[in-house]
Amino acid sequence: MNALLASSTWHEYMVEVTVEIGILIVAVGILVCLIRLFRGPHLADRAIALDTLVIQVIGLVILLTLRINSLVLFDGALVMSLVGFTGTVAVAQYIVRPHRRRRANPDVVLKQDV
Amino acid sequence: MNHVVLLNILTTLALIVGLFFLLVGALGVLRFPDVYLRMIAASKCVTLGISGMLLAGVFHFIVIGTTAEADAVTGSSAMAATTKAVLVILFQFAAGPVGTHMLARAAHIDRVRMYKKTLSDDLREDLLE
Amino acid sequence: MTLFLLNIVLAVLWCFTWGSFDFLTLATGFVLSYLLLGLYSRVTVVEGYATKARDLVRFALYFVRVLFVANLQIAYEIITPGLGFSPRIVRFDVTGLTPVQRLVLVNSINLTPGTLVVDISPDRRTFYVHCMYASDYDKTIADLNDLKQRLQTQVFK
Repeated sequence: MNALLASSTWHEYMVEVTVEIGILIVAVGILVCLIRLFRGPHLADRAIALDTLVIQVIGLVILLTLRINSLVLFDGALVMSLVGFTGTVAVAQYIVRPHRRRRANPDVVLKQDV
Repeated sequence: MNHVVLLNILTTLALIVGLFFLLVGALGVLRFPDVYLRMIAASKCVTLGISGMLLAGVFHFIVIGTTAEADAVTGSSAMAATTKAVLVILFQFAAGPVGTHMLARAAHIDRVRMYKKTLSDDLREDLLE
Repeated sequence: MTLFLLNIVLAVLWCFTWGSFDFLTLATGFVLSYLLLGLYSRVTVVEGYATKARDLVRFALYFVRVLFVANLQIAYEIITPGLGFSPRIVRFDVTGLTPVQRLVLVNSINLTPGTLVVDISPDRRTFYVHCMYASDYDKTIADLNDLKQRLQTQVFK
């Protein structure tokens, strides 16, 4: 609240109010992603929810950067976008792996067959 | 003074566009009926949303640089902000679709059930041949 | 290609003179040296580079416009109640593209209107594309072909 009162002109005030509201909006987005993360019937659904969640967190980091007027958190956005991609690819490989194993050895019994 | 007003308005506009697309992407992930449609909503809206947010960050740090309140300790420079923002946007546009494609392929190999109104599935036909 | 390398070298020299390697400096140097090279190739008769760069910019503008239209369409679908999809997975023929062209095409398809590449056939001649609004099979294929055509004529020549 102090940050809001400190600004002198209307346009700076406008940016600060937008940032404050934006933090709330991103919080709602993170909550929505968490609902899908818990409900998702398949592992791929959870992976998508996690991917979206990571990008929402990058948005939150940028909003905080705007709020504290410093670039120290900006590297966090870079690192998080790299790590999020790696996670998605890892989950995709994890889903495909038993099928690839069965193609090599047809005797393996999978969950779908039972 | 005038261009500071313009830059602040641009920051607000970019923030609003970015936040709108971020929220819409998250709601699409919750609302859409099957994996592939969710993937489409997530990959596209969220990429555009994060680009808008990063643009807002760039505009804001240009303002900070021109109003001469930049402090050397935390390193608030417009140049560094632009470089990092462009790197993140480029990476999102290059790697986001690849990750989505890998996940969609994995889901189809694992035979995830499709939306009940799906009209046809040429891939399944070709695999059954 | 030689002119492109020359352009990069001039941009790096511009960075050296300013003493900083930030993105903005590099971009400014790139634009300035591009203008210089345009002047140069008008004096000496070396054609090709300027038109190629103009085609690339035109493709970028088209791509950004398509990206915005696609996202607004999906946003409208999400905000209004009820779901009006007619999804399909269609075959899309990509015979005769090099691996790099296929990679760029996959990325462009994944970023544009309601489409997603699900799989690629083992002989690498067919994409299987998941489309959101595909009640008309032929129109969907025509849209994808338009994107492929633009990529082939404006980016890879």
